[in-house]
Amino acid sequence: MNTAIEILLVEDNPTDLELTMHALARHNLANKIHVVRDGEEALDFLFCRGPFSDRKFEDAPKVILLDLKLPKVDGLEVLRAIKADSRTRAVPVVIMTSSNQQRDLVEGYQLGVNSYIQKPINFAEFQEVIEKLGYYWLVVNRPPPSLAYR
Amino acid sequence: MNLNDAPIRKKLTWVIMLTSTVVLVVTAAAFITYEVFAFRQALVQNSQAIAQITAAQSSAAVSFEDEKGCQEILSKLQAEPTILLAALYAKDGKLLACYPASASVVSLPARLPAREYAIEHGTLNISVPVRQDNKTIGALYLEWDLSPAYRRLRWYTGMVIAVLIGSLGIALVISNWLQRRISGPILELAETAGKVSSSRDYSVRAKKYGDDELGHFTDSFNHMLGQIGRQDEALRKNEEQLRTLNTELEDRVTHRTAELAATNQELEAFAYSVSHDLRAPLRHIDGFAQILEEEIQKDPQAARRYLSRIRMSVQNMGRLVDDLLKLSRVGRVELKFETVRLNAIVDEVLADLKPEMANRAIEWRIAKLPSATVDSGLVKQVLTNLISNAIKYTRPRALSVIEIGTEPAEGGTAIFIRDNGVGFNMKYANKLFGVFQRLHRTEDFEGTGVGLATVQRIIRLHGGKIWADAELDKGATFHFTLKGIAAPV
Repeated sequence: MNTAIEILLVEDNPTDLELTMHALARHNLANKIHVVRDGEEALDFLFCRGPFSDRKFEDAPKVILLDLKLPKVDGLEVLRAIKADSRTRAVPVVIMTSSNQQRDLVEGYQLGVNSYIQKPINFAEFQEVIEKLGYYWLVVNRPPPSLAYR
Repeated sequence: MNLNDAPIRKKLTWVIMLTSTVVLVVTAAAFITYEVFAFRQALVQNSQAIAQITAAQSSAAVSFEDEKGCQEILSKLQAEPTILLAALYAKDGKLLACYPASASVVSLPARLPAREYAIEHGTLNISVPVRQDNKTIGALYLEWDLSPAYRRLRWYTGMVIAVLIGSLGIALVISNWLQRRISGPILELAETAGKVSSSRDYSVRAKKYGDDELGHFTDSFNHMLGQIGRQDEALRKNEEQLRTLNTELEDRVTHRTAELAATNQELEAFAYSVSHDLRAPLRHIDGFAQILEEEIQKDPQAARRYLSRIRMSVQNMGRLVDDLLKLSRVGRVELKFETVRLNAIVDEVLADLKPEMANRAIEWRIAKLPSATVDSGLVKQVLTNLISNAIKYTRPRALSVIEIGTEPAEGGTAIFIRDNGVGFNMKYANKLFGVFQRLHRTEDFEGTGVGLATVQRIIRLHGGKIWADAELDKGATFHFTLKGIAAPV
């Protein structure tokens, strides 16, 4: 169980990725993280296909950190696909984005997102958000049992 | 039946028949009256003449009161079969003789009638004095049977009535023929008018029958029809023009609305993307600056890396701002059309892109391109974008092959730029031209995601279309049309 992925980070921007990883590492949350770089890869990972065909649905991450602006398949489409399939619907999804557009908020929640966070420009605040986020989803929150992924 | 509502044919027949009847009846009546009067006159004169002659012959016999002689004279009246009775009286009124001899005294007037003649009970009674030497010596009484005369008169009247009826019959036939001459053209006019009003066909004409008032009327009517027809046609033409104008206007409004909607959508996407993409470098700068602040003492090596990250973010932000400005400028600046050789523009672009081609093996296959009437600055921007993309996305290839050529397309000639680069999955083709939409990771292929949005905007401004087809890892082809491209070379 220890090798299981706890966080799936969907982030295309290398700089953002570096900063997020930095923040996660500071709080010792970076070791059980898997990074995918665009929407297509995220879906391949979650639906255990392509390079991830060895994965099992039961080994779902405890949380998905999802950027909205992604090459190829964008974040909301990834979210829609996750929430439309009973095998992935139970995975908690947190949208982490620069966008503060009303439209994205509305659609995100319509599609069943579990949390929506706007990345603050101030890095100190960003680190704090990451810390709280990791603590909450990995420690406080009880993840769905593996029975939920079928 | 109300005469006003009667058909004109009937009215005319009625007028002719009524007039002829009245005239004929009045004529016949006058004729008969005159005949009766003249006949009676003649009869009386004739009878009186016979009476006078007989009276003169009998004067001797009467003067001697010779009854036998009298009888003899009266018997000669046999020659006149219409004489019913005759009698000779003496001066004192004594009956001397009568005819026929068998006539009873009762049928004779006892005394001589006072009047010279009288017509009563179908008989004409005449009395004349018998004179000798201008002295009245007796009287002669004659009674004539009028029935043969009446019979003649009746026959005569019958004939007149027959002639009258016959004349009326002829009048009816003539009136029928005559009324047709008058009503025919009127009915024809009415029929033509009806046809025109029901079919709205102003090309029909009423037939002209003669050069009378109706003929003139027909001419005027036809002339009027011609005028109405011309006016109608002009009106219809105007209407059509108006309709065409309206349709054009509607099309323009639709077009403008679509344009506005597209612009609006673009603007929205733009604002959306700006809020996302322009924030990112700021976050990065702040992030690395803070990390730098924390780590500068511990690890100078890492600190240098963070500094370069900050500079990269700043440069990235600068590029973003530049590209956005370029995009927003397209459409705000009036297009300056000029006819240029597209090959000349391509050559310029290739010269400009020289630095990007350093250390690259690129095979160029550039066909002869047509001339185009376009805003050359903007079209150069299009070609710069597409060619630099081709250079960029063929970077992993040992030998890049970039082909620029023409092909027939809907509505003219399309220009295409084909490369053998990394291509993309056609699933994502709809995202190609969106602002800040990227199909590749920044670390693989740099870029802001604004270039193709700008290209599409320029192409649209030139009334053209841009589309792409590609296959992952095989290459991509971008095609575009411009309204100003000349016919195929």
